[in-house]
Amino acid sequence: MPLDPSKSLHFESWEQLLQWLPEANENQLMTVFVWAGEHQAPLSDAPRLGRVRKEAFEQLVRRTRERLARFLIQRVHVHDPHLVEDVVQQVLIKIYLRAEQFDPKRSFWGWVYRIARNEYIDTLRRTHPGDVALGQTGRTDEDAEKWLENTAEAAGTPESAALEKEQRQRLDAAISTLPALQRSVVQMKREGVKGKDVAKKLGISQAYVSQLYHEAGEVLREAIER
Amino acid sequence: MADQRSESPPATTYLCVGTDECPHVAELICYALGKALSEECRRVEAHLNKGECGYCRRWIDNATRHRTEPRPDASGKGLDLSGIFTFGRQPSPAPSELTPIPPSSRWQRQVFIDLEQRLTILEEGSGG
Repeated sequence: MPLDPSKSLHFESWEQLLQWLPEANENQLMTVFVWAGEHQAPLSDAPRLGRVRKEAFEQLVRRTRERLARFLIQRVHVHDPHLVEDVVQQVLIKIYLRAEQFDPKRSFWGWVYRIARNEYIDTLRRTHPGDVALGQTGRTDEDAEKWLENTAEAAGTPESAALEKEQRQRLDAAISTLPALQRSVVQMKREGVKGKDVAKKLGISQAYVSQLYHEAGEVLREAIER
Repeated sequence: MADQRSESPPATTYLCVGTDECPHVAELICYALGKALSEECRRVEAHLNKGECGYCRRWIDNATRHRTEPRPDASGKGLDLSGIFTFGRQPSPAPSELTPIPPSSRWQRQVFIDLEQRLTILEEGSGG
């Protein structure tokens, strides 16, 4: 039975909840996954609760694998297919193990990309100990924050104006999908507000502003260049 | 902005592919960590014994790195966790310490309300 659109977050049965999962976004799937792991069910409900948890995670796996692989290949410049697969799986396993640590009000993809980059570096350190360049591995000339700043500027020749306009529109659309606090940080920074002033206005620490901004850069760049 | 997509094959070519018969990834992870229920163990092992599934085998190998206890013996007997309903996340309390669990329908309503509240808070935060 489909959900009533006016009550889209109301569930009458396990089947209804399972039916809704493919329509849930990643933050909602993480919420369901954590929720299902926290409750102790009576015998009659335990299999269904277990199934919801497994299906929620399976949805996350399906959506994450390819996008994460693309991130590793295009952003972190990993070209070894075996390494890509292993890092993708390790990231998903860490998502499984650390799900309770995820704040669903923050960007899921920012969190995932951070884990992915760190996992790749850790893997290289294990297999290539002593490589002093690893701190810079996979970074392009522009890091995520610089990229974000550059896209906010009016740049480019008249010939590329149309392309830039399209990219700005896609960027604006992607920004609108960010969680509220992160969206505010990005918008204020694009307007030229300094980090400490952003922090003051939003009532958060400057370090947190930097973290949110950096994560947003990763997410938005990937969304636009997909 | 350079289009890096033209320089690399599609991401899908880098990834192993499972089949419809493969267990859920969550089951494979639980199995590798030694936290799967007996039935789940049987399902995973039956699938692995049917034929070499590289996709599943890889998940298990990668998840085993995070295992803190020794692997089960070669007979493949799974842990009997029938007294634990939450995938072994926390140690199972002694029976005398368990809170009485209300009847199923009431319990279901309570946990669904909990989930709905969490999702509503999430929605309100996103719409902020």
